[in-house]
Amino acid sequence: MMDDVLVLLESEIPRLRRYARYLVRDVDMADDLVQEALVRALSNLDKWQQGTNLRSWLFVILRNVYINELRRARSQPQSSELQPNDLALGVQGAQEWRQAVVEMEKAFSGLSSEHKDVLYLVAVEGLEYEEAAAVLDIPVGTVRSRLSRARLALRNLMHPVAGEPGGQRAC
Amino acid sequence: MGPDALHEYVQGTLPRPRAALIEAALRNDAGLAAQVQLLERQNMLLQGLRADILDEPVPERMMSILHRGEPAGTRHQPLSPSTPPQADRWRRRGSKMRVVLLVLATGIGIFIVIGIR
Repeated sequence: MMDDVLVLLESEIPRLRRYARYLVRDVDMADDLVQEALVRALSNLDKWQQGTNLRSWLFVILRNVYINELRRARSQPQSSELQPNDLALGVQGAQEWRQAVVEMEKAFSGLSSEHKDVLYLVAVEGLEYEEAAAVLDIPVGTVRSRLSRARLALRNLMHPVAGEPGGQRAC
Repeated sequence: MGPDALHEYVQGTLPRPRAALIEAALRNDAGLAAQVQLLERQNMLLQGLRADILDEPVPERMMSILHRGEPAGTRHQPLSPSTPPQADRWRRRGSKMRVVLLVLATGIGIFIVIGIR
């Protein structure tokens, strides 16, 4: 049973590393967050309920590690590296798709951090609203409303032309 | 049907009876269908954000945490949770980066000056 969980944990490491790099710009620092999160996850493995989403449980831990580091760094004068990442480029694929992804990354980085947070967890990582709410420590209703506004804002950033079908504008 | 419902429909979280309503509406409403298509594309693009990171090999130091309980062998650098190695790095990184940026900026500056002449 322990081995099974370890295999599951291992399979989530790439997702953890991507989330960490969403949180911080520096690759080494992001990996440090993951490292610390893994240590904590292993020592608290008995608290994870089997059948629930391991990824969102790990994301809660990772985000807590990040927030702790952020608090600690705030007491230091040099904390410029702790700015959330804008998700730099690096996706391969057909030229057109690549271009679209580049545009999406640009638009995504133009969103507010609140909008990015929910959009990342739900749309990029596939977390349920309740799980995203637990990671971000906010009510589910807030996740729902932020997500809705985030999608509209993202659409308007990517398709700024007026007269889109539906004509909805971001608030 | 508001935009929230449409978002949940694309996300796959809208409960069945309401999802069926949207599916029915999609057949007759080209505008709505276009909106859904746009949202689906948005989702696919979002899932592609930094997908390259997912293909990177997992660093050995992370693997060694998971396999700490195994007999000593090829694994190395066992990490003690009580001694976080990152503490100093988080402090030092800022000043180190500034030096690198300064050197880079100076280099580019010289390059431009030479280029102009």
